[in-house]
Amino acid sequence: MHLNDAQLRAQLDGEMAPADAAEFDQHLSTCPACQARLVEIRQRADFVADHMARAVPEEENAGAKDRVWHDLSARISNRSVGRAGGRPRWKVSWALAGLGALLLISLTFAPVRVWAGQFLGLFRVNQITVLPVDVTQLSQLSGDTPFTEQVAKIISSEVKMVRPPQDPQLVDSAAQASAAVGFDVRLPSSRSDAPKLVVQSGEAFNLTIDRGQAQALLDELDGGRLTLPQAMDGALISVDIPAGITAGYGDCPGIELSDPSQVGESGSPGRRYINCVMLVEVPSPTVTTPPNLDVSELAAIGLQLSGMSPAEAEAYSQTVDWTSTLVIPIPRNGASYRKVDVDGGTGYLIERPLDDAPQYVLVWTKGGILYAIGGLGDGAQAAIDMANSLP
Amino acid sequence: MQPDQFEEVFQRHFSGVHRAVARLVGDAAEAEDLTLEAFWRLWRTPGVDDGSCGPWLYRVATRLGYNALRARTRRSGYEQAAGAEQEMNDAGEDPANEAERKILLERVQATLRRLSVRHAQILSLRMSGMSYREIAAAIDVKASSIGALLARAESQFEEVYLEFESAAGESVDP
Repeated sequence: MHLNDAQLRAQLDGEMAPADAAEFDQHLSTCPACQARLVEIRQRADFVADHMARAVPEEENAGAKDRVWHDLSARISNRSVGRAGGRPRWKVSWALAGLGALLLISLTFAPVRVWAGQFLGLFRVNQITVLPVDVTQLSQLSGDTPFTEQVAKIISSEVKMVRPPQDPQLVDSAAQASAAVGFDVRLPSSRSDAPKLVVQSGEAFNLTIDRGQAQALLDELDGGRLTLPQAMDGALISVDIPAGITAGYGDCPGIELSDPSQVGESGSPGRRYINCVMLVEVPSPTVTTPPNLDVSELAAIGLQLSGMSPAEAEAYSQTVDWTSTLVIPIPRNGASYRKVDVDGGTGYLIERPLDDAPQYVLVWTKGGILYAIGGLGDGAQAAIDMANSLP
Repeated sequence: MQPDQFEEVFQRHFSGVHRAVARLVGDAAEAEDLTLEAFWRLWRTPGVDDGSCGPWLYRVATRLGYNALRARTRRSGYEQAAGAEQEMNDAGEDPANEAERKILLERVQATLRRLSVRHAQILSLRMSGMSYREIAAAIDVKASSIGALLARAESQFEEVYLEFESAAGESVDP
């Protein structure tokens, strides 16, 4: 029997197991065919090595290591006080609420997204995260990294707007807002000041999933452990986010703009919105997926990304009705949550320290409407009071 | 990962990771940025322990390098050759050599772009001096399959490279 290419190639690099090497040499010395093949493989290996080596400078630039370490240290120390270099990374964590995984993410962060889009100036049209990732992993998707650009490119090339979002509209009263959005807008009686009331148009879009690209991104996040279901490929997902309102109490600069980040060229959101409390009301968005797409399977992948074992993820994903449950991922480190009784039901109060002030958000649903109250500082109790004072 | 442990990992792996990425992107400064990005991701990714962080870094960094390579504007073999020859006039001390290197570099990168990510990774890792066992850990395959993968990657590299070369109207290497 002749030696195969794999053996011959390994021999060239001295990578044969010693036992095999002896046997190999013996065969090779008596087999002209294998000798000829070895020459061929060696020539090819030399060809590749020579071209790759000549093309590329071997050495790093002077000071590269120190420079990179310096930048890394700066990022790390910024992060440890709740801030990341460049754009604040925590935004994504807040804005992200995934109903399980992929499509669920695009579904459920929508209400928060509307809020976040105004409050934090983060999400724009077409910027949807369509990958099953946990908060930690997802934070990789923010910031001006090549990876982010890549994701944005893939997503936007896959998204078709059905009902593009309109510019936010300032309105004068709850009645006017209700007429515009088609549900009863409720304002809290615990606040005597008039809010800045903004109608958000909502939006609807379809996205077609390219499983290959999604898998490549998943591999990058996770190192190649997880495999997306084949049924995902070419799956058409329709997302419809109804119109809703944002009510800004206090000093909420620019929330009526489609890009509030243009307001106040300096200062972090923490400083600019320190005296702002936001109330968001949005009917539940709907997401339509192909019948053969197993949502709990996708959810299990998302859960594994967030650190569960395959068995745990499988078990957990079976206990949740992913088609009706809002699952809000929160950062494992640095955020806390508790259940609270609000507005005649149960809500969740999530709190997270930031660089300038702690951030809180209170979320709950009632009558098919999703509610969120968020702000900075120690206003969590006031948020609960606000929620309980809704008519 | 604790900060002091992270620094130790950085000191241990920086040059190797940088080298592997530079093999792909062909530019030391760009490799620097991508290497930084890989370490930054390591820092933010929980659960990568001391033993597995080396392979993890190489895997993520070479994938970033490959993606960066793929994202660049693609040019045909003719354009590469023409562009590089034009630059010859502007080149410094050794214009002929520099232009030649540029043609070579662009052609090598065009070739790597055409390979699968795994093949591109295995070539850059091998070229940066890693053992089969280290490569296997980095791209998450069995060490015993590296010989076969490497042979296939090289075969593909040669085939594509020669295709570019003949498209540029040059004689094929003997």
